[in-house]
Amino acid sequence: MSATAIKINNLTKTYQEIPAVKNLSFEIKFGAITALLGSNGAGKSTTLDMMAGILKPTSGTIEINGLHYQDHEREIKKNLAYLTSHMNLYDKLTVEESLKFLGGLKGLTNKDLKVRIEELSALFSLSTILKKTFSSLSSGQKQRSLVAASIIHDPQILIFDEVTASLDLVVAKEIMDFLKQEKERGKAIIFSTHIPSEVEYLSDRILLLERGQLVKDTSYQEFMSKTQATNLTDAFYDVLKGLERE
Amino acid sequence: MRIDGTKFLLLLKKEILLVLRDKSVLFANLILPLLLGPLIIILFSDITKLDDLKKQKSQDAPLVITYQGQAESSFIDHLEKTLEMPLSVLENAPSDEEQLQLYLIYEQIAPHLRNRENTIHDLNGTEIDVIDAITQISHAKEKLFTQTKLHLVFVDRADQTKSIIVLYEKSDNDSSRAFKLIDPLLKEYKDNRVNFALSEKMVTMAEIIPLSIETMNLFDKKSLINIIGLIIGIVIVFLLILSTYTPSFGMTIGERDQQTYKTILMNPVTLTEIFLSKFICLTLLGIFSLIPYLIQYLLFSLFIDSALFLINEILSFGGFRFLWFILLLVSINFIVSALTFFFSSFARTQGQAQVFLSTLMLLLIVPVAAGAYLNLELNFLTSFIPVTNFTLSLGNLFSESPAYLSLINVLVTNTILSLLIFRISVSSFSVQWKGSSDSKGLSDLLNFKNRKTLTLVPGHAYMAFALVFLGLLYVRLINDEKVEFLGAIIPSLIMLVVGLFILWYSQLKLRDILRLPSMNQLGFDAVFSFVVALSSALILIFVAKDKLELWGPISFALPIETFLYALITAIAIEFFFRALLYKALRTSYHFLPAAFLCAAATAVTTLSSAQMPWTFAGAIALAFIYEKRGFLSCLFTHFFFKLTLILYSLL
Repeated sequence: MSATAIKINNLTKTYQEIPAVKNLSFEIKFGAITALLGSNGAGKSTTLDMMAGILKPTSGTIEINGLHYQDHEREIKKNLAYLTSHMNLYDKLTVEESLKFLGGLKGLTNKDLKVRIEELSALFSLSTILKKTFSSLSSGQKQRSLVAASIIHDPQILIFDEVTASLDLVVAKEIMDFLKQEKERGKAIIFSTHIPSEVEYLSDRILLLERGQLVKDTSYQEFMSKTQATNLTDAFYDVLKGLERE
Repeated sequence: MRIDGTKFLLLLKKEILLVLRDKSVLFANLILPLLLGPLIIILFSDITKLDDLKKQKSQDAPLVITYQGQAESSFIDHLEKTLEMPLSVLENAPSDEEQLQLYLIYEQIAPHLRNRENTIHDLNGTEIDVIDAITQISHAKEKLFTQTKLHLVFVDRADQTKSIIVLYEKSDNDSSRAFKLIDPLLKEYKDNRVNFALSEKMVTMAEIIPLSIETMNLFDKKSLINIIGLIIGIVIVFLLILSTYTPSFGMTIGERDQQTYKTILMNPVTLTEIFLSKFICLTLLGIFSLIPYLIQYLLFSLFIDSALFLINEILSFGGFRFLWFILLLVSINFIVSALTFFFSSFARTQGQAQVFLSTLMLLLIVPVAAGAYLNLELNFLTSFIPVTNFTLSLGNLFSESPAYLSLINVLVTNTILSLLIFRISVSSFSVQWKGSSDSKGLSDLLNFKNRKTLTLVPGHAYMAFALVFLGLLYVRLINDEKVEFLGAIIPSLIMLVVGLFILWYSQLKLRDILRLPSMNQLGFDAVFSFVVALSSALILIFVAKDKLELWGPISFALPIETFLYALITAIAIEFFFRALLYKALRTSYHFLPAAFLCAAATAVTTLSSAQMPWTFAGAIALAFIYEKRGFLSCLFTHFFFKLTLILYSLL
């Protein structure tokens, strides 16, 4: 497996001639967690949508594990997890039905699915809600089910877009711990968030987007040391204000 | 487009589960049938009684007698006096009746044909041109059977210019009443004619071709069956819309509203697989939604009123026709499902989608009603008219001898059309769900503000082809195969107008789609084609003129019209099918699939089964020429070929 999980080159996306993402280029490595940061409308979600193969870029290329979406979409998606705060499971299906359905689509056999559902149930405390329909769950239970559903196929690359927004501390911590474990297992993880503590707790590297362009690509420690701020919130504020002045 | 069977089945299972757990679906498929079922049974019951009502009304049915040639006033007077009622006399019989007369003559001369007699004589010694009669009859025969108002016909073959046709109001009873009233009079008239021939013309009995009175009841149960077919068709379309409309929007817009579409898109499945599973689920739902109505109808007709809706006749049709009925049901279900998908692709919310319901109803019910209003019947041409062909097929299926070839045509037409609509809808959803698409969908196509971002894609080409096809069908139906110059170039003009609109709409550069070569590249083949085409025209004008005169005087305009016809047709067809359609298909497909699809489209628009095979082959060759040499070479080749064909047919 290539050490580079995702390679993005000159990625551009325009909506009715207005650019949302402009000439973005960077690489994501295995065994590291990368935080994609930026203010609202900076192009984070658009970038992650394109990386996940949901949106088609206007121009530029995306390589996942050395493969291009144009020719290898099925292979890529078999090894990729994508979750955003704007995703749901089907209201009228039970959690177990959803897991089986999504696992089946990813190519898992019934036997593999049974084992995997047991693992995920233990990891995200799903055993009591497996037989419940998605609509009957609390928001925390829903989010745990969604994370489980997104990684049912045990993928090597995880793309999470503001997954912990609006979650209580306990569930958010469970998900963050899970991401750390996955990193230890050598997986490539990229996530976006507006919560500074999450960046501090998780990220090895920070990509800062503004107006669709990459303005910073740095490690967490370097980012903090250069801004000379005492905390991450102040550091972001200083950087973004500096950009506005430019 | 590769479909992964396992994943498709998983998607289908999910859709079925969701549909079964939807309360609105349960309401539409279980509660609604209980409410609507009895109403529909009452409706059918009334239709069945329609025949009895007609019998009562027919007591006052007026008699109309038409005749051709010199009227024998004494006979008309005699009829009026005997019947004690005034007769309406139409001096110029409509052409349909003339055709009917020819048909009857044909029926009578058929035995002579079998005896290899090329000519026969009537009682007055006039020669009947058998071949001419047959030519006219074979042309008129199909149209003849579209008439339902003719019931009883008498033809005095002894003098074919004095045929008498009696017209009545529609119904079996009218016909039998007419027969009882007028039959003795007609027999008497026949005897008079024979006696006249024997005494005045000095013809011997051996020379008289036996005269007979022909009674034809074209109406019998067919009209009732047609009405039932029509009503069943409308009811079925209505019920299908009721049962599939809401679930369709739940499956499409609902995925976006409930934010589940990204969950699905994150899997190794294609949009086609996702939407095909929804499409098939909707079709199955449509079929199963009719079962409660069918059960109610069967229970009622078996245990309460066995006369309801000709149950015995329907049951006597047997399993094979029932299988056909199911196939036709599936085909109309495909169209209803595809159209609900099509409408979903416009709406932003489910609420917005509900607004389209009335439009969808109109889109489906109007063609059905129009078919009935125009008194159409299922034949090769009408089987191409989508939706309308469904009710026509039902009428045909319940008749004594169904036209199975036309029924197959209906299935193929409806299936292709639904797949076309489905494909366009998937393109639209691709734009909505994924932000862009390999082929632009209707959302973009109909959004004038975004026109500048468009390029020519199959979505446009499909739409253009559908428009042209319907236009040609319409022209063909109203023109009735007239080959006047203007009538002949109308289809080409339709193609040109639609093609130019697409060109303008897509903001394409003419240079790009025509693939115009430089003069050097154009070279030998274009000049050669032009010279040969011109030579053909000259041959037509100077050499063929004498031979054409064998037919009658040749007009000065004919060579010019022929030249223009070949040129305009070639320009229109090559511009539309090669420069637009083939070029658009090439954006998504390799040469062979694009050439095959384009050739199939070209062949279908000929609307003639005899022309389709060679048109298909020719179109493949032209696609190859377009690929290698560009538009002008195609144009010259087509023009040359068309002119040669005309020349050949004239000589």
